[in-house]
Amino acid sequence: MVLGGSAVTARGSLAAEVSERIAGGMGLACLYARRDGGGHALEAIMAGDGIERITLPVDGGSFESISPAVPCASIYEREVFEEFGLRPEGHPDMRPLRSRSGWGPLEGASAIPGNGISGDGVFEIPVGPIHAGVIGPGHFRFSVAGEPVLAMRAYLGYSRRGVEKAMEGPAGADRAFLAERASGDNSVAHALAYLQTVEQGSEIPLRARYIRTIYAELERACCHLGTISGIATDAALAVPAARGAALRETVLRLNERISGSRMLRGALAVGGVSRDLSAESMWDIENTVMKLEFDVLDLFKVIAKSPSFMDRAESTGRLSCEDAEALRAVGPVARASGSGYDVRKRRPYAAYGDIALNVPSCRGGDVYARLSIRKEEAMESLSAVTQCLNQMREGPVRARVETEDGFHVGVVESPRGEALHCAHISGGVVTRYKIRDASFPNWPALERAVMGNIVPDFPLVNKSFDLSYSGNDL
Amino acid sequence: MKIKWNNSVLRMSVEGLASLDRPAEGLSEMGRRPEMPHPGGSCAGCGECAEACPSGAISAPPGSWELDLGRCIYCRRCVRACPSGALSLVAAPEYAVRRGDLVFRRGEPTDRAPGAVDEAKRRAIGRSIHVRQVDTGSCNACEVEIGSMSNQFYDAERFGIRIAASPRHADALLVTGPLTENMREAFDAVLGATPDPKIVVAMGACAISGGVFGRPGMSGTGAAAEVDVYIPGCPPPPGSLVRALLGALGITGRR
Ligand code: SF4
Repeated sequence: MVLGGSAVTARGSLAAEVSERIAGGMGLACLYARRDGGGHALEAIMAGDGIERITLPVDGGSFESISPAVPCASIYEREVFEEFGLRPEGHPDMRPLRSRSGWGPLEGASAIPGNGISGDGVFEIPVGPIHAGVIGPGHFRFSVAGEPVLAMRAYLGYSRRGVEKAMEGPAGADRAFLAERASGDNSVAHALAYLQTVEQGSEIPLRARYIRTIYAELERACCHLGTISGIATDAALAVPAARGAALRETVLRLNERISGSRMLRGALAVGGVSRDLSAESMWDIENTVMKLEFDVLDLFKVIAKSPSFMDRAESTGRLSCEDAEALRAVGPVARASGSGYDVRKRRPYAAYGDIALNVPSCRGGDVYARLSIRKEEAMESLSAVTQCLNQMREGPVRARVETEDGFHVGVVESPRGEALHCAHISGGVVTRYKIRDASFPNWPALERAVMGNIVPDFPLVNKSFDLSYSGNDL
Repeated sequence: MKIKWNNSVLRMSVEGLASLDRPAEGLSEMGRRPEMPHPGGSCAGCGECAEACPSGAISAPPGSWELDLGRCIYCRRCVRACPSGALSLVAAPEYAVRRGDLVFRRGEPTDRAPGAVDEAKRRAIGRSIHVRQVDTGSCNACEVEIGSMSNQFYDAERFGIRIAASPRHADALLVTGPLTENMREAFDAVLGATPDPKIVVAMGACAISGGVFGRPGMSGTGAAAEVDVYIPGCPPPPGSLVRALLGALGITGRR
């Protein structure tokens, strides 16, 4: 497990420090602020083969924006401004991020602005925050001329419930249950990232690491099957949609049988897992997974053989490789647009170092590309589960661990991509807890991908991105 | 400072969990029925369970014991924490029409009749119900389970439960999430847009009480609307959802 990482204090320009590391192959994984003595400090987390933290003390109420040089920093800086009132000077796009009804420094000025696009026959369509589907709350503004979308702006924050704040307090209190509820369908991933900040690289028993990997991969398969089914629904393919949903239910039920929770909640525990897998459970998993492998392949074949589906999915919602890189999109979305980045491969944690894992990647960038990546990943997950079952040996599943003061980071590859938890602990108290769900950097990528598509395709494109509202808003 | 993790949670050994380990048992076509903790005679009143509860659902001042199922996240940490093994799992109600019916005290019977919503409203709804889901800041697991309600295993539509695309087409609002500050305005609007007599269903610990996110100013659906049905869980499983909706509306006595 790679934790802690090296830390440097920015000598002068944060933009220069960050850019230098990006040129060296790292990426800006997170940028956030925290109170530091009487003032504030900015923390830039760089992720590559290791994790590096760059700290910039901020005196007064502003700092120099790095977004002109590093575009993916834009949303982070907007967040810093809304939460700490620190103004990024020279920021190109200071739209409100999550502030809706007048909290934070934007008080009074939180109304959602128009897109500012006008001309003959240009209309603006506001949608949400309550949608037609069973989905989280978000507001979207489309500027259209006829059917094609000229621009789309997403305004989220409706699920802002204060998870990060709730994670603060005595470091000895187990808050895995809260981390699980950062983004409910990625419970295992967030719990695991949280536990990494608690366990801080202590030795976790091998069997526990295998079980954690099994849980994480079952969650990924489950999430991808849900998305595949959702994409089929939005393309009006009723039969594959129903089959996908049934496959997801199969995994949810397996989860319940082996852990007592359909979302695998409470399955992980500080120092390991909360209970061992019995021989029957392992047999149950193996059996279910084996059947799933056939079903997933067959389902995908049915979808991809449908000309009407391919007509809608190919070339729709294209996210260019350049955009994906500039915005530092993560997860299956990025891997469908040329990226090969996967935390499981780059900085293996749990038992990922011991199993063979392929990271599928392609350059298509459209709905179909994202669909195929998800199918490939679901298959890889199922194979990973089988490998874990075969390689696991008897042994303890729980160890005593110690939590120490300092800065600790947990990074995992959640089903939606790289997810980060950062904990600042001093005097046995968590003074700042930062969560960055994989959806956060991906929402701006969705804004790009929708451009030039027609409004009726938005649900399809949106579903293929499969972003979390709750994980973004926290 | 160094923190050694050696608390009550760590105490649970694999053997101690044997009582929780009942895999496929009772998992019928419509899913397993939920269970809740209840103290038996050997409860010494030490309060360890209340201490272990992450969502403040259990209060155990000396001499009494109370569980608010509307806060419970069904994690069972209490059962694991109890040093005398006094908490056993008993069948939990899948819904209630009065908030108070979700509160269980030591010594009281746990098999309350859950009741049904107001007769006049039931008559207006008839034998099928169109529900609009409204997310007021959920973690999205409740949405996963609402979605599951429509899959082939549960197929809620065969019982007359249909997801409506707009509040204007809805008989009932299925509300999830603790009602965040940012959702207030939209929630008021959605209440106004739903034709009367509407039925407001608070689904999950968040919507009932604020759940794990509960704090002053964020205490669930009840803060802005009159709630007709409470469906506890975090999240409530789809089978419970179906049975709760049907039961509360008196659509059928079966399932
Ligand atoms: S009740 Fe539980 S599952 Fe439902 S939204 Fe709240 S935290 Fe998530």
